[in-house]
Amino acid sequence: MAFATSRAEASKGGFRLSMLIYDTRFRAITLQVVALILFLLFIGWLTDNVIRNLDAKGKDINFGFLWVRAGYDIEQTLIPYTNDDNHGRAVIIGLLNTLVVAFFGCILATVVGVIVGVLRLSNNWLISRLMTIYVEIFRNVPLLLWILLVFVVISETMPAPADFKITPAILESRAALAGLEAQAGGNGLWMRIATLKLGSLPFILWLLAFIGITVAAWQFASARFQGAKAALIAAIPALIWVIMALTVFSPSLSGGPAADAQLAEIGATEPAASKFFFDSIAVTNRGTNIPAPLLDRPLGGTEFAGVPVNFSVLAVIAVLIVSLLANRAVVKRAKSIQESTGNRPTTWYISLVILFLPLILLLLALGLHWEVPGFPVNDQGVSTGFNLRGGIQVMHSFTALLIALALYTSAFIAEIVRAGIQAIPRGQSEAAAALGLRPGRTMRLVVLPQALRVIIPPLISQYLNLTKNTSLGIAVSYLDLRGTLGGITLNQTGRELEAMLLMMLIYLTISLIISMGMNAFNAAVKLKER
Amino acid sequence: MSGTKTGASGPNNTALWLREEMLSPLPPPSREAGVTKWLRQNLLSSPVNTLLTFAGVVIALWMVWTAFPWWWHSVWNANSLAECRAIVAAAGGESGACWAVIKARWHQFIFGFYPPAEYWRPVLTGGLLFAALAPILYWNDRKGAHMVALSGIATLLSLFAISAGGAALTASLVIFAVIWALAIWRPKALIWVTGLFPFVAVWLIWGGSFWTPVSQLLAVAVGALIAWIYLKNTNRLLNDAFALVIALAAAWVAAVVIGYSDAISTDFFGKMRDVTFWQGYLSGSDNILARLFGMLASLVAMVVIAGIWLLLAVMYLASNLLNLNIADLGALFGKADMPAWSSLLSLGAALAFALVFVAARNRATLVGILAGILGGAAALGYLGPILVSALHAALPLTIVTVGSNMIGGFLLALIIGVTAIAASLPLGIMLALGRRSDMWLMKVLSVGFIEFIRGVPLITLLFTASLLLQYFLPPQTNFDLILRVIILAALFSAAYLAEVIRGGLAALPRGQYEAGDSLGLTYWQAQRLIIMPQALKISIPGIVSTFIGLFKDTTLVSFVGLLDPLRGVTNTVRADINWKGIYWEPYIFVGAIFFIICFGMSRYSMYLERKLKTDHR
Amino acid sequence: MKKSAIIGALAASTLLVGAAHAATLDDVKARGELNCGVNVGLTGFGMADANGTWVGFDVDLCRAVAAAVLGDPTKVKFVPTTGETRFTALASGEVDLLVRNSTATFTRDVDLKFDFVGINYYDGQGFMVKKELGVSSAKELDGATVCIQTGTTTELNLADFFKANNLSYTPVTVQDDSEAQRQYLAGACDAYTTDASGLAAGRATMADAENHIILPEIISKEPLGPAVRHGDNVWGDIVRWTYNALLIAEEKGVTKANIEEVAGSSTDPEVRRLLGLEGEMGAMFGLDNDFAKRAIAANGNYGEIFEANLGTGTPIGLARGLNALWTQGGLQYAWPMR
Repeated sequence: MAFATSRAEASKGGFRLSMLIYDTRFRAITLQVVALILFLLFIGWLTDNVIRNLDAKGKDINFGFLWVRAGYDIEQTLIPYTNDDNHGRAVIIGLLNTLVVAFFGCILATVVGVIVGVLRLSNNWLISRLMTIYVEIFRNVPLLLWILLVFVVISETMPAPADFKITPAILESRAALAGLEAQAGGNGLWMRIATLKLGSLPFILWLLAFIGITVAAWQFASARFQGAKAALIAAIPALIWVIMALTVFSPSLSGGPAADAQLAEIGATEPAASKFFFDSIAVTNRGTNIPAPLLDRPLGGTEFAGVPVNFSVLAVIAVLIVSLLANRAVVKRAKSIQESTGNRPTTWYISLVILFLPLILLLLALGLHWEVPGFPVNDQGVSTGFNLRGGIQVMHSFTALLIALALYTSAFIAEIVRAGIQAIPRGQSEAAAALGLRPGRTMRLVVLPQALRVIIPPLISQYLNLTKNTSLGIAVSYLDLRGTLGGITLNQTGRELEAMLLMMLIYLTISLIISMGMNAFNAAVKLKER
Repeated sequence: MSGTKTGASGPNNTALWLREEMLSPLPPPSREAGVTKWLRQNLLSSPVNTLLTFAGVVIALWMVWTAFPWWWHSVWNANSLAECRAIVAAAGGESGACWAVIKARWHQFIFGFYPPAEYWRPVLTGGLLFAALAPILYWNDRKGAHMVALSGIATLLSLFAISAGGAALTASLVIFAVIWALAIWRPKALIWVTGLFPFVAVWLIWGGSFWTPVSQLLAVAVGALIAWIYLKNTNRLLNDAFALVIALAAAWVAAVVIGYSDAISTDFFGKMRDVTFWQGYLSGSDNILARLFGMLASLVAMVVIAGIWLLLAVMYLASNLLNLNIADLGALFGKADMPAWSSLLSLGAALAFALVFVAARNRATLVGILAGILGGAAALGYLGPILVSALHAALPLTIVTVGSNMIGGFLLALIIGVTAIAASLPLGIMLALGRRSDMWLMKVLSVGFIEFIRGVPLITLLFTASLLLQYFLPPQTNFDLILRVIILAALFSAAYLAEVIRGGLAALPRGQYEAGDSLGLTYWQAQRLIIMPQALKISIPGIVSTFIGLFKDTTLVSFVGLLDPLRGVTNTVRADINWKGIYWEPYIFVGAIFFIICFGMSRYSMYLERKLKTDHR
Repeated sequence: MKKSAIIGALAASTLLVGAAHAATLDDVKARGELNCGVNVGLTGFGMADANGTWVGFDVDLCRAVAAAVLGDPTKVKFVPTTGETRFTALASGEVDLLVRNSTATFTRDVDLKFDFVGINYYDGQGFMVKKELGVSSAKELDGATVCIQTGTTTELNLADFFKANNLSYTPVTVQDDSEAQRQYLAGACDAYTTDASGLAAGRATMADAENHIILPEIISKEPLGPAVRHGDNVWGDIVRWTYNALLIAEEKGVTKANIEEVAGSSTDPEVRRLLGLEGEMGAMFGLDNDFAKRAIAANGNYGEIFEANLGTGTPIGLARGLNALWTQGGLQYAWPMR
């Protein structure tokens, strides 16, 4: 068989056709040309098929549907939207919903994942086992199941909005209570202690926590102080915990006043459910209602390309940026003083003032106050309507998707963090210990910064996965890009080719942007070898 | 122990008193021994640890305590949810699990709507899958026989559990006995079982005539025979004859392809002139964005088409310049009405003929493989149906045909997962090699494909399978949704596998490549004999975790209307009036099965990882 | 073309099933099986029971068509379709016939290019609320949270209704009926809106049906019917006349039980034409003349199918209402078979 690979032979015989295949100088080119031809033919074949199929169906490729009135409503929107807006805007609403859940999901997943990953390596037998169970359970069950389960748990366990309402019955009860002067027993301290439900789960849990806090405080105090002083210091957290039992936790720990026939007859004087956090946050089975910031003297706003621009928000951002820059200058100056004199001036209070005072002043000038969610009340004092008004309502579809995505991804991130930490040689932490660093600081200052280099590349792909997985939101009624463009819009317009191609393009762009950004970050923290 | 005398009886002893026996050591203080020590070391070593421990206990206790009553009041025998609730209420419980729904519908969660009388078929297929995996996992090893025996026993037990018929039991027993005997006496021959498995599996699951897999196997045998004869033949004359036939076939294919691409481009240019088609892009509205978008889309399309057109034009020009009007070959291919193109056809065909003839005369392996594939496909396409009907007429060996719409539950998840992973392995290897290739174009194409697939969610690919494939395939091609989903799932996992295998390739020291070169091995020989065996071995854990991911992701097929166990079957069950309103139990059941399978696989891959690590060091 | 040879070789692989657009009837006959697109699971209309057998009002129409065309009501392959995939499945030829409570609308008829060959169920969109809310009209739902099933025309109707009445609401867009009902029962929404038949079916199967009411407003027209592709008129005619035959059978009192007896004794010329004893009706579109007889014998006439799946004798307990025959005040009015 003739192999014309050697240079001498090739130059002797001039060009022959077989050299296209057997001469290494030409073979790569031949193969690439053949591959290019085949690839272009393949693309051409697909294009041709699309055109012929469209022809056969009498359709065309037309993105005009994006400018047609959408006609449907979306439960949760970041920028204004009504059913009179066009499909294009609905697509943007969906895209923003995708981005916001992906953004918060990545943050939450990272926080939980790092904590779990570090705790999994803890020398605490119980905690490391519990974290292993956590990781294995979340890793080995489909994400879709977690999303559905979290949603079902939230929506089945939280009170309905109606439970926050003040009904005529409640008002009657209150009137009856006001008429009833002698309140038996009262609700005093002794009452609460006497009615502690000793066998109940909350009490047992409280007691366990009490033991834990006391032991930990004793360990802490006895390592640092002697004798009575140690005992005194150790007693402080325990005392606080007892006080909390009698105040904050009292409703679940104590039985309350003994049953009184007269009182029992009156019935409930308060709504079945109450708001958290100084009566400002309401968690219903539909969503979480949080207070919304309101300004008495807003700076107004305008609209740019359909997106509202709020000058007040811009002002806050501008002040924040200026403060940060000023703070940086202060720190820089402190550093230069330290380098020239060896003494670092105390700057923390200056930083505090620079960072927060202008912002607080600005917000005061704008007249910031909070709009607390609540039911509108009619002139008799009875709540009306179906839902809490005012404030911001974060629907549970968002919350459930966020929690499920974060927990699921955190299990993977935990493994990545664990692997990253284990990749750092033991000598590093031993060296840190030899320098006298405490375990916490060793982790923070020595191990994690080095582990970061191992952690970041797989972390990027987890962020990408999380972002792509937001497309499962429709299972819990979250209208993201897949729910609007790939769901209702596709359904109503019947433009599956255009809608799906556009959707793929958008997801691809998001993915590429994320991986580009994270790769740049990776390059920044990478070990600079010279 | 401590019984040795420490020099007390030595001759130079001057001490007044010396202890002759060592004291037995005191027991450690109580806090340094036993449970206390363990507790102090493992649970209470520092304030933070103490707090963590108690927090863990509190949380664990709270979770168990809250869920306990629900589990305690489990109901196993009931005909409807209402009945369940009545039983729980009668037992004095507030809420209780209604596992009766699982008892009533477990078969749908596992098999979908597969006919109950035929359950033995998927079960047997599952058992055979493990037998087929045995030679891959334990090549030429006694453990392979153990694995076959274990899977055989498991299969028979499962068949008992689903109360399969005697015939199915006997057949399974015989099949596994034969495979086991093979594994004992001829462990290497077990690989033939692996080769046969795909054909048998498809036949067992979808049913139909026994002669269908036989004819497919025959076609494969024909293809292999052609390739083998071609590659092993030493007769010069026969070789030339072979090369001639193959080159003629190549010329024919080239002519067809060129003719076809010509048809595409004329079609397309016709369309481009047709204003109404382009109006589509532009007529959306007065909005400037719409116009920009339309223009962008048309630009991309034009670049691609221009590429094809340019190639054709160059070839056309060359053929005219060279005046190579050899024969009106074009007429042979139904292109007689386009004489200008016929010369192009001739040129392309002649070029393909020459290149392939040279390669074929030199017995290039690739040509042999292609010849084998083409020959096999031709045998399957032209002779297969005739053979099947003839054999069927002579001896009708048929099992009930089961349509794809009957397949659901975990059976569906496993079919999609296993098939897609198996199919994606070769593609993944090719993509990984392409990504590391020196050839620019190969690299760009591989990277482009991988990044595209990894950049979009799986659900959009599933929608492509269900909504868009009808646009990208020739009109009136329409095939099974499950097959379409498998193809897209295979492409999806191929991109991920490519990255896994690329990692394996990157982990190999350069010396391995250089050693291959210094031995004078060609690229493919080096890949086959040196690189791939090592790279794949390193990649096994990654491949398994890709499979776990894909297996979990099969739950998404419910979005395109397939009966996955999580939403598909659960919704079907809930549509039944008796079970309306049941949520937790199906989810927990399905989740538990997923957990068992995925956890088992991840543990197995960790075991493999450890095993592979030791023989590396 | 020669490329057909390559594609032919490809197509020989066992799983490939060819489906042409032009002559659906020939395809169905050649295949020996009718591919019918149905709902993935909607109580009473289309769902699979514990044995994997499909049952329901829509499913029975598929069976009747299979009986008419193939002579065997069991020769149907039911393809479960979601709201998103149903029309693509029909357009691409994956199913021959779509009976998935789909509303006939202008765009679906004209733009998506389907023919709704009959209306087997006249429906309208309504609201269900819990009694304790004290709401008696949909116009009192200002500010309410409403669960809607996506992939339907209901989102649009709902938006239009609230807009027309100048009310506000929060939509909760849910993917399937069972999930929507779960959310409604859990209190995640105040009202559940879908077709009135679906509401009635849902309410009837709730554990505390008496605590839920269906509001009087019907906010839309929902003519639900079997759909086929544009351009294959013979196939459309077959489905249309199979359905009409079921209606005529009810008009004339021909039931599954008495069909043989009627065929033997009836002198009514329309009944005789229906049962293929007179005229050459079936032959006109390529079937035999007793196609209608087989369709009726499969699951009975329209009334029987209704009663068996949705009627007052079932847990769903729907009254005939608009779907009664025109002679009884309903809208079901069959074209004369002559």
